Amino acid sequence: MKLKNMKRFAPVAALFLMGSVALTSCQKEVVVDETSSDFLEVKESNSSFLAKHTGTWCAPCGGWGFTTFQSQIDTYGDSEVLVAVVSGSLGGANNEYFFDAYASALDISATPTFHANLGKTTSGALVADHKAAPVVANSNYDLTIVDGKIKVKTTTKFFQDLSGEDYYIAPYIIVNNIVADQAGNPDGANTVHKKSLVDIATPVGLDDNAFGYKIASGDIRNGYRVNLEAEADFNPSWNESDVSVAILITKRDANGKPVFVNAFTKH
Amino acid sequence: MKYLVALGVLFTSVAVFGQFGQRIPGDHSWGLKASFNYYLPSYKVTDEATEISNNNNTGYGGGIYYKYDINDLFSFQPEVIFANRSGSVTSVSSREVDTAISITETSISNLAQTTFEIPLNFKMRWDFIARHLGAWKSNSTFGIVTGPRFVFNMASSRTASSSEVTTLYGQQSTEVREISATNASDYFSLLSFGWNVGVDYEFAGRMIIFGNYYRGFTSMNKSDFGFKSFDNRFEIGLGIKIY
Repeated sequence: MKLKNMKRFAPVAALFLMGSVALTSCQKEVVVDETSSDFLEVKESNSSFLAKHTGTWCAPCGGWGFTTFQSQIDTYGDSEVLVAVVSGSLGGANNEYFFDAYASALDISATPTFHANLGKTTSGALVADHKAAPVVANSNYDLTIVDGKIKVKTTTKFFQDLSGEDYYIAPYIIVNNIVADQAGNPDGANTVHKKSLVDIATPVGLDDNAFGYKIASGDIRNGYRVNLEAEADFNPSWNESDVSVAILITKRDANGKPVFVNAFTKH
Repeated sequence: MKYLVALGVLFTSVAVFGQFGQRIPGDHSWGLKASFNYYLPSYKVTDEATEISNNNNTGYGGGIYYKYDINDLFSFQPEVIFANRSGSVTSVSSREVDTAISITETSISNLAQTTFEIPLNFKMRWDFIARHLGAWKSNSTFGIVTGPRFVFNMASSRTASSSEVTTLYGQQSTEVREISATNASDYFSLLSFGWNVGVDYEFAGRMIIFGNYYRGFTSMNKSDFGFKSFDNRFEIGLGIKIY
């Protein structure tokens, strides 16, 4: 080809060459998110919060109340979060505070009352619906008992982009197998109380709050995680292996009352 | 979309240059240019809680120009240039979500970007008169070049190291994330626009040495990162007239 002809086509060839290089370099976007942080692993899953509102002085609570709660434990104990919110003496536990707080927040006026996810009713369908719902947030915890203190480290993770609402977690101290009197129960003073809510782990410097502590507010991105460390007193009469944590995640309605979001415990 | 834009520009350019390739009259010429580029992007925060620091970008560019001499003094000189730059930017965003909650995010982004650029320059030039000053000053012109420039994001990559510290009731939890994107189209704007001012010197009949300052008027990155960045670039380069 003559030099003159080459010059004629050189600009065209150069444009094609440069355009081809640029276009072939436009690959599909790939984002790698590798995380190294000080958080506990949190599963993207939902659990219901099944509670029994009961009293040691209440005879029906020691009768059908006990058998119903045991039935719930048998059915949901391996998958959901069950707690007994108890009035009356449980060997020095701080349970009365929570009994009053739940009665007020949920307008409960009778014992025993069974409620799920901070509503007044409980049913298999309600539990199944929550299990299948998109996960908003969930938590995990580590528990240690040192020097008369129950120390709880929690991680809460959000699984949706959220905006405009405040989120709270309540790390409840749950003690299984407390032996105390129960009216209406054939075991009387030797009744074994299951999954009793005895206290809330509180961040150092804060007061007890029955429905927990604000952990996130405003614009919350999908994947956001936050830790909260808290502690409660350990009662030497408790068996350490019977102590666990039930985390209740809530937000607030217009009246400041708690609205259920999710719950977590280790099974 | 950018594929369509690029292809459109390519085919238009091919058609235009193809026409001139058949018969370029004496007042038309074209050639190749290459430059070293130094970028000093300017930043404007869109979120008052964000601070930007530590950025420097270097790169290079190359492409072709076409010059049409309108008369003895003025020329129209469109160009087609590919440029590549790399650098880093650090942003620090702090917000007090609540009296008990504050979040500070520090993000260091290492960026690389290839752009397809179309400067549409107008040139005012003066001929140097040969006065026995040597061959390289004979047959030479000095020019002032200015005009708009359109910059398309063609390919980009971004690696970011982000540290998000949440302070909750005096307790801190730290999230460290490493993000790598082979195509950072979520970060860069597809098209930005600005104005170019420069000088060039043609000597020895076909060689060109030039320097440009380019200022972007629209943001190079998308605004949801808490800031806008504007191109602020110096270019020094060489060219050669082919025809």
